[in-house]
Amino acid sequence: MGRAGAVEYLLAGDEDTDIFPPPELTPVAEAYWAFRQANMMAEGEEKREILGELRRAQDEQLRAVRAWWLQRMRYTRYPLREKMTLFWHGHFAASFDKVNSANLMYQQNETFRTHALGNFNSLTKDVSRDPAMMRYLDLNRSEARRPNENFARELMELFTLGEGVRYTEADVREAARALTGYRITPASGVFRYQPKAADQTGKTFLGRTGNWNGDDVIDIICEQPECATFISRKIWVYLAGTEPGPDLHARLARHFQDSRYELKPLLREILLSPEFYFPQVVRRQVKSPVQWLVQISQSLEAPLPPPNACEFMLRSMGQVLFAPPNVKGWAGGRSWINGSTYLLRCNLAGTIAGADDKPLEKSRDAIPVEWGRVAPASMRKNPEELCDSLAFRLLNVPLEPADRQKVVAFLIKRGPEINDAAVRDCAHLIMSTPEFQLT
Amino acid sequence: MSDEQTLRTRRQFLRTGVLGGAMAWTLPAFIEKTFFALDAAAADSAVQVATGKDGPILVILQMAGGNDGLNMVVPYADDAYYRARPKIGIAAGNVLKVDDHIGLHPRLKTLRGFYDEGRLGVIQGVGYPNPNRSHFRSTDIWQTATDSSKFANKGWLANYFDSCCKGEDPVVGVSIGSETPLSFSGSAGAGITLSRPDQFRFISNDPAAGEAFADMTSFSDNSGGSVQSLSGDKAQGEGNTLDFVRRTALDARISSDRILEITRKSKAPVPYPGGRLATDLNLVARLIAGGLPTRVYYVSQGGYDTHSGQLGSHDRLLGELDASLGAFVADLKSQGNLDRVTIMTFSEFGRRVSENASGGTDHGAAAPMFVLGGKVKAGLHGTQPSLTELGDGDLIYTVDFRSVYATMLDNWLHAPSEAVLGRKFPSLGFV
Repeated sequence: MGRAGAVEYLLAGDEDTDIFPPPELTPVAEAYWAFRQANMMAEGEEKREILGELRRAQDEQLRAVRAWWLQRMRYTRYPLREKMTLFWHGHFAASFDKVNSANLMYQQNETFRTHALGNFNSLTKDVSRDPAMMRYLDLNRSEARRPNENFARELMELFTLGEGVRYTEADVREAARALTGYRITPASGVFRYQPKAADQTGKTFLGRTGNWNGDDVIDIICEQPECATFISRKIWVYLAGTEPGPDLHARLARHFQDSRYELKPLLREILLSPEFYFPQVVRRQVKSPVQWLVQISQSLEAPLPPPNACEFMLRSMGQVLFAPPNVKGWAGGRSWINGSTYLLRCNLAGTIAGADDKPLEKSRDAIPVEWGRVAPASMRKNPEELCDSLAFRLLNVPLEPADRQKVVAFLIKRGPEINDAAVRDCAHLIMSTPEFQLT
Repeated sequence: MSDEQTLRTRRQFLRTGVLGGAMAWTLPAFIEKTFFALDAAAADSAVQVATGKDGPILVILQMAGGNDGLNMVVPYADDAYYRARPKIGIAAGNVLKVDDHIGLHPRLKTLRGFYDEGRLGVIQGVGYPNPNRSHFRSTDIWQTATDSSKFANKGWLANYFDSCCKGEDPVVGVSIGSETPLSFSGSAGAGITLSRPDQFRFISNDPAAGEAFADMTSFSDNSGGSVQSLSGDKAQGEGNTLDFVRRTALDARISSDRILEITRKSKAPVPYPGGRLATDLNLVARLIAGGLPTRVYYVSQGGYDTHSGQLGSHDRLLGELDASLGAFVADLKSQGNLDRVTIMTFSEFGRRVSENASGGTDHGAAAPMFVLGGKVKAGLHGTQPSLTELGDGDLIYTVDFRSVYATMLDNWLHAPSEAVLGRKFPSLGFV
């Protein structure tokens, strides 16, 4: 279909033809009342037990939501939509640790998916009304009398303009006043605007005076070219792994603002730009732990490891879905790799392939790879051929000559017979190369 | 020719002569040191200071999220404190008093005890000019020790490693956790990040695979066709990503055997409480007991961003801090290493003097720091900022945090602070 055709296919990903039935979740209101009732009980053993039980149930449900999303990423027909959903999760970062509701985290995820390839202005407005975000940044507790600045500050610093760009401390305070009256209805767990709690007097925000509400604040922010500059850069860096050059950046930002923050034209421009295919970009981006995991499963044509193993692996590599480290999301890029996480990636790849030091029957975290299919007899004629075909499968390019030499030497040392165990250990070595950590 | 010059010349020679100029930046300083060790003449005093298992150790404890300094070190005699905080102010009767004006949070009982024993110093009113109220920007300012208007990619500890521990092992700095703090970033070869020591080695069912892995992650000839690309920028923050990953793999493999050996054999002699911070401090204590030649350890405790419902969560955090530090100090004492260690806490900022309507506090500015250890001068240092003369509703700093760093560098690590921080800051004499 060619490059342009492939990009159009990826961008068509908003058609809802992917069917992934969501996990069963306690309705938000039901969980809310249960927690509230428990919290009102007298201190003591019984209260602790009930609260513990409720928390465990939420944890359990969150794990189900994580497993559901990972399955989606693994099997989706529209990977760009899932990739951008993950981008928005890291951009408008909120954590279950404070939100305390698996259902709200799930709903937020669907909001990100709905707008994943949509419009940034609408997405930002929906995020400001998203109960998980409201809880995470205390928006539902902000009052006209003494507004809570948490959401207003991050809205500008992290979500739209960038730290200290275009706005002052006074703008933070004025925006916080405009973003009052946002509440979550306990009976339904959905957003409601409560005029009584809102500051309905005049505000001066980014030099403009009026009786602004929260949506006005977002519209005024989007009028600033700095917003298009900030978001277009972040999306480029997310997809390409490098900083955009000044010309490219200016071009992306201008088109993004001209299209009134439509995401598809921006994504099309990025994915079709010649710069996206420069050697400094291709295979020079550190895989995030989620990418690493999903790609291993895809390249080995095997299912994902069991949910508990995925939980453990992603946690130890530093990317727990629905629990980013803070409101800035994951730092990404090179920060994924340090001495610890590098060795860990090698070892987890060994665990997944069943090449670690545990007997296979005891390793519950290995995935059932059909090594005969990954490397059929025709590819096992000699060590070189096996190494090259596995490298092509796992890296899409040949191994660096020096690494290839060592993998081949290892296979020769292992003995003349190339059995499944040899294929497996060879795959493990390739997954332990520095090159494999990049995409 | 001075010793310093001789050393530099020899280093130059090793880089260009033995290993080839193109390899210079990817060559770990550790290997360089091995070459030095072969040559007795190279063992001059500059290298000696940073080497050895008996030197001073700094443990940095980050309280991430913006710790509410006013509720940690409480100015209980000041009415303005209670006026600003009708709901979340800590009653004078509950404060653990240290003098007529100042007391510690009620959950800091162990630390209060250390104060009496002459081990805890409180540096009041620490901050910097033109405070930034963004978590991330302010954390970066603390981690790079720059002015709030300047941006830097290299951490202040990376500067220390590069200028004072040259030729050292990568483990001269050890950060515990899954993320490398910016203060460690950008060093030419020092500093490792450690999360799970049992996983800090390559594991395979086949020893030959381990050998092949060691071969692949060695510097000697792995560069193959890409020597060209290695000759780029020296700073780790630049250069190409593949070289960065290679270099990281190499450092990890070099350090892994020793760390594994130490953590396997040493067990904590005192009980530690539960929680991440205690686990991390326990690991630090084991590495110290095992004689790792590390100068700086880094641990972090998160959750201090108390915009709402602050009372319960802040109590819990400080309780965890108190219990974890209590166990850590007891451990070091039983090892006989307490006099070698100084612990320093910091947070990116304090919080607004006035509470908000959600029973919490918004981002603020100046706040106190703790310094704790066998050789610390206990007591209050610096001046408590005024609660009524504020800057944008926040405390105005009385001590620049870089003065605290400079004191640590000059008086504790015996490193020239001016070279590390790029400027002279007044010393505070708390250690």
